[in-house]
Amino acid sequence: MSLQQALDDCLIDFDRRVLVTDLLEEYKLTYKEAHDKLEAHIKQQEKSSAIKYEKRFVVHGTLANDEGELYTIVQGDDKLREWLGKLENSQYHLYSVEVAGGSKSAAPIFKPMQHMEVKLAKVDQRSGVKPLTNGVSNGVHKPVETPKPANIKEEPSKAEEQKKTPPSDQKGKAKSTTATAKKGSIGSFFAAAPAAKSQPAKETKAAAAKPAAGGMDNFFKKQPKASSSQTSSAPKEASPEQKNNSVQLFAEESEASSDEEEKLDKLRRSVIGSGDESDETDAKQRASSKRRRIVDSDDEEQPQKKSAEKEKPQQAEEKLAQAEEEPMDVEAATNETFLDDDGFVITVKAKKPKQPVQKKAATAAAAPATKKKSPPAAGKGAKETPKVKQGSITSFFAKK
Amino acid sequence: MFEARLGQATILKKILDAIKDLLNEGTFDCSDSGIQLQAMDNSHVSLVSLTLRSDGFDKFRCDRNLSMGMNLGSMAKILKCANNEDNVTMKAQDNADTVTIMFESANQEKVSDYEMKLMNLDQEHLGIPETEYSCVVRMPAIEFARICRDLAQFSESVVICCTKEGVKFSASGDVGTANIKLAQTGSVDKEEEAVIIDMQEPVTLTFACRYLNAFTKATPLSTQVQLSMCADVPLVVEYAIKDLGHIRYYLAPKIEDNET
Repeated sequence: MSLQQALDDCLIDFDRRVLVTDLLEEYKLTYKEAHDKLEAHIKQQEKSSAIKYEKRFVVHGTLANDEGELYTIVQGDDKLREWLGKLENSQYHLYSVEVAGGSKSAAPIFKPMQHMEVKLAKVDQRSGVKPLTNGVSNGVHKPVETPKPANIKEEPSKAEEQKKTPPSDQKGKAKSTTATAKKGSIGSFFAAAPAAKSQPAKETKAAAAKPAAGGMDNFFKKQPKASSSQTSSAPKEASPEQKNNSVQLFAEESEASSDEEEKLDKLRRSVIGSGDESDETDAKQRASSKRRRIVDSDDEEQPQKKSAEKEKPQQAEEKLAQAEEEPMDVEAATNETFLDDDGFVITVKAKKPKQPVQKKAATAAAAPATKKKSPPAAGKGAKETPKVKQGSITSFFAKK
Repeated sequence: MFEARLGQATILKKILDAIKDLLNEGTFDCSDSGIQLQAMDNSHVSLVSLTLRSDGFDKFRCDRNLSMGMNLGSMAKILKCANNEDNVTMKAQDNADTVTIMFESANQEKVSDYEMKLMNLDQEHLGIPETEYSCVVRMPAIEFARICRDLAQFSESVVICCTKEGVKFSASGDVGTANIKLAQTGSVDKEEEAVIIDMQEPVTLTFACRYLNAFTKATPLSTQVQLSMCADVPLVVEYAIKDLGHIRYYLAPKIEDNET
């Protein structure tokens, strides 16, 4: 179908802005042919039906003070004349036409054509970019996106800006937008979580995510394992995922921290899991520096450290002596004891003195408990009521 | 054909609430005299006896004696669909395997009906002999509920001791002992607040708190509760349902274990 035929048959809807570039592409015409036919048609229409058309022209020329070439789009004949006066070597062509006062939203103001009838300077055709209509379609428009020449004043619409973002970005955006757009699907509401999972996980993120996945069960499950593997060597270290996350965090922090911070660490550990030795053992396994090891042993030997740090070698001797006295316990003690290069005792030996303390505590706790329980028991004994059993209703009422 | 219509659904709701904790299922025996239900709880320690007289219904028709075994939980669910002021009608055909429960709003603008499947329950019926009880205590139902609730915190068992002076509820456990004495009220303006003791012989019996607390679910049905006791005889806890009938709970007393 030719352009003239389309115009005669009113197939082109001038209620929306019709770009000449679109007509060129649609009907494979030269610019001159399209311009002439369109202008003739408009004049005829304006005469016959008194319809007013709003015309835009693309004007090309050089600026008066040799500031360079300029392409611009102007609206109406008055403006066109004004611009033609401003520019030197100016030329113009019809750019777009629409019915004046058309109620429908206009197409994008500037739409360079893809079919290179007009060659613009420094314009490369971008391949594989999907044309964007900005939600406006008139049946003729097949707008295509090409980068705007630098010296053209017209600003691209936001839609065009979005379109110009790299395809990789668009993919990400598209995923999220499509996910949220599908309101009917429940998956759209929960899509965020898997997306987060798919992100490259940093250590901290993994640590943060782990408790949510495993919860307290994992936390507690690991404790016995960690305590049992207290003496295990470094290669047997559990994988970072299997480790207690809180320990990881503290361990990472404490390696670069000062003594004061380490004290705070200890406090935090004691708050998080008081009596939880797995924290300490895990940390111990991970620690490579001497200080780290000393800190670990200090965690368990705090009372001794406070009393006299210098007595440590003496204590070691005493403990060895104790070990001789208690051969059964020695095995466990020696298994967990080793001397540092500098002669510091870095062991779980601290537990040895701790155990009797625990026992004492246990017995001390048990004693009052029994005492507390004794009064009711005594009361029971004194006021012991005869034991009763629940009778059955059937023993009182006969079956019918 | 069986059809029974009650002016207020709330009564039937309360009745169901009063028995559904003790009984999962029950058989409503319908006759021209009314509706009766008798069933033991699962552990056969207590017995529930419900009597709804035919003259208490707005409309009652029972052409043939009919036994309708129902899941009481399901029935309670259906009754929850009724507004308190709705009229409720139970309908069943002779030999039908379903019962229709219909609710009509007071202005007749809303009518809803529910059909529930009936069950064939093989439940034992017990013959309850006429008994002269040594002590009959009438007291506010709310007060009895409160006492049972409070004493349950002390022990599984409650000792009810009825004497001339009054009735004493006691519980003893690890926490300590609790004693609640109620004396017979002299003259009370409000009848529902009266404590009246009719005693022939002093009685002391021990009962399981759990069951007493289950019985008190019937408290909304009546302002007063009647406790009838006799030595070595089940306690009768009776709640009257105004103009309609009564619900009686029988509870076997705890007896001394001679074997130990």
